[in-house]
Formats: sequence, structure tokens, C-alpha cells
Amino acid sequence: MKFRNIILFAILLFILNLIYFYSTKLTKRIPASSNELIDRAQNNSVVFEIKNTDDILENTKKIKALLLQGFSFTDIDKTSEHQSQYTLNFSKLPQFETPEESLSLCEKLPFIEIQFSARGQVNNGEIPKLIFLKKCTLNSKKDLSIEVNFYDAKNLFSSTNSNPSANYLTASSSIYFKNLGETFPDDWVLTNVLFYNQKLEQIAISSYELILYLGNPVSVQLH
Amino acid sequence: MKLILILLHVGFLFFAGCDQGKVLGPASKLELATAAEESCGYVQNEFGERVSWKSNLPVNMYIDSSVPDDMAESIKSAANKWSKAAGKNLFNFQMAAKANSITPSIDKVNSIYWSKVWDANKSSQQAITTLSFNGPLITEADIKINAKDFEFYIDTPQNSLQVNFESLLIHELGHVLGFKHLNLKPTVMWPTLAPAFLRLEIYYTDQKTLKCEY
Ligand SMILES: [Zn+2]
Repeated sequence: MKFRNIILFAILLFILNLIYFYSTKLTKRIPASSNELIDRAQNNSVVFEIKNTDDILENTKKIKALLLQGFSFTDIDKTSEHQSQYTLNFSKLPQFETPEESLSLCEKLPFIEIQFSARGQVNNGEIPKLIFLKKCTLNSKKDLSIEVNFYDAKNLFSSTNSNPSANYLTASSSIYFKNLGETFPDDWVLTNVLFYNQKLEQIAISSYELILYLGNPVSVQLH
Repeated sequence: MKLILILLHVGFLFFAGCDQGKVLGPASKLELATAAEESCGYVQNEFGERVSWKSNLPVNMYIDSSVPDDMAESIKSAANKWSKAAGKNLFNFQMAAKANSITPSIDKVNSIYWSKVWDANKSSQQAITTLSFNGPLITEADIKINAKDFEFYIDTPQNSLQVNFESLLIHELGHVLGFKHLNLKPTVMWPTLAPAFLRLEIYYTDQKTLKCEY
């Protein structure tokens, strides 16, 4: 009798806790997949041994975690008059190894697309976007540093009579605008980093993943 | 021994029920990143939250003095259709005493402008609705009508190029509410509006979108 009471009491506690858990805001609950992304990032291994180099998609989560672990976003030179140049730095990069070959991230996915969204602005139902298209090139330290120049982008926008959607080619990148309004927004937030290749295999890091991993959005405020 | 087993059992059940997993991010807002909302036809901010007026209703809008009087009536008619679909008043209009400025600006005043000046490289736009938002909350909305490149009519078109004004406004007011374009017909949020085409009712799809936030 005593034993049955204890069990009944335990079940009651369990049910009460379940009710408490499911009554908390959905936003307080973290999906299992996101924990996995972080836990796997503790593993510093950068070599991905794969059957053939087309198999990277199986490792997407691990690769993203690795890239995010070594990610930093820095202002190039605050003292210069062009205070609108930033660098996306990836210090931890995957290496794809098969019995036949070993490919770096840039060899495997040579194209990069970096997308910023205007913060707090909507034009005809769309948030203005600024996209930098770059070639993936490792620096001498075998890191990946990608420069984005908002000064160039702003100049291009005003020199073309504020065309809301256009594509421009500069010396270092191709710049693409979408849904811009009458003025060039001053507040931007990084919303997507995409590594891809000709076969359209890709590793895409979304704004949610950036916020989840870094704790806050990567934002740019032009002066 | 039996007691220890029972206590372990109770403890397990207690903590199993409690497990909420890790909570990330220093501010509560950042936790939203882990649970992006469904778009449901709305613009979403960088946290994946839908952007709308929430309970800050009705949206008070000024009709600029540049807008012709008969067109102002069409604006109110379009707004009434949205309010009827929502079952509550979504918009209030006031005529602006004088033209504030022909260029919509971030001034916390929601206005509708009639513009005879329009950028040449945006001449295909019939209107532009701009929103400012802070977090998930819309803080300002402005509609500017392209009266330079388009002619509008109220009841009967005078030529084959004229665009029905109320049909345009029903769409632009959808943007004011935070709606994106939709590519699933029938919807008032279809991105284009052909001359003389009538889009004067809030469709089922739009009602569903409306219910997600209002
Ligand atoms: Zn539209």
C-alpha cells in the first residue's frame, strides 16, 4: 500500500513537471539538433575523412560548427576615414580527405556569398538585402579572411541613382542589392554565409545559427 | 534497499520531467533564435520573429493633402475590408492639414502620399510601402503612390492603362500590416496588378495570414 502511494506520488510529480515544461514558452526550449551543433563543435578535429569528396553534405552540421567556432567579425581600421570595411574571419577550416585526395574548404567550395539584411526596414514586404559575392581564397596563415566593403556598396548605390535591385562588379567582389529603398540603410545584420561550388553543393550558415552560436547577431552600423 | 530504489525512482521521474535543456544567449530575446516562428506570410526579423503591429491597433494613418479627395475615399474603403476580415478596426485615417513632405521619412508618422516625382529606374513600381520595425514590432508605415508613371481610376477606367486604385490600396495596406508578397493565388498580396484588374476582396489565404498576428 505504502509502495503504491509512493509510485503514485512519483507519477504525479512527473506529470506536474511535464505540464510545467510544456507550459513554458516554446522559445525557452532548445531543439535537440541545436545542442548537437554546439556539442560537436567541442571536437577540434578539422579533418573529415569521407568516402568520396561528394559526401560533404553528410558532415554539414559538423562543418558548420567548426566554421562557427573559429569565426570572428572585425572592423578593419577604425581610424581610417573609410570606417565601413569589415572582415569575416574563419580560423578553423575543414579539410576533406579521401584515400585519393585532400581538399581544403576553398578547393571544395570555391564560391562564397555573404548576405546582409537591413535592420528594421521593409520595402514592399521585403527586407533590403546586400550581397557580396567572393572567391574563397586562403591567406598565408591558411585562414580564410573575407573583406566586405560597405563604403563601396554605398557609393555604388548612390552613383547609380539608387537603383533598388542591381548587380555591380568591383575589383574585389561582386555586389548585389535587392529591395533597397530611397536611401542606403545604415544598419545591417549578417543573415547568411554560403559556401558553394559549381555543382551547387553548399554549406549555408544562417542568421539563426550565427545568433545561436555567437550569442548575438553580427551587425554593422555605418556612420 | 527497497527504500533507496524507490527514492531513486522518484528522483528519476522528477528530474526527467524537469529537463528543459540548455538555455542559450544572454538576453531572453536571443533565445528566439532557436525557435524561429513560421513566416505565415509576414516579414521576419533576424531572430525569425514575425514583424507586425501586435496589439498596437488601430494603425493611425495620415492621408497627405497631395492625395485627391475621391482617392482618399478608396483608401478608406480598402481599409474597411481589412478591418471587416479581421473582425476589428485595423486602421484610422486623418486628413493631413498640409503636405508634410513628399518624401516619406522616419518621423513616427504613418502617411499616405501621392507622388508626381518618381525615380526613372523604379518606374514599374505602382507604389512603395516602407515599414520601420524594432524587434518584432512595426513602428512606422508610409505608402507612396506613383502618380508619375501610372494613372488610377475609381469606378470606370478611362483608358486601357488605368489601374484600379482600391485594388492597389488593398495590397499596400496588406504591406502596412506586415505582409510579404504571396505567390499562391488568389491573394491580394500577389506582387503585380494589371490595368483594370479588380482585387477588391480579402481572400481566404489573406484571412488566414491576418489571423496569424491580428
Ligand atoms: Zn507589394
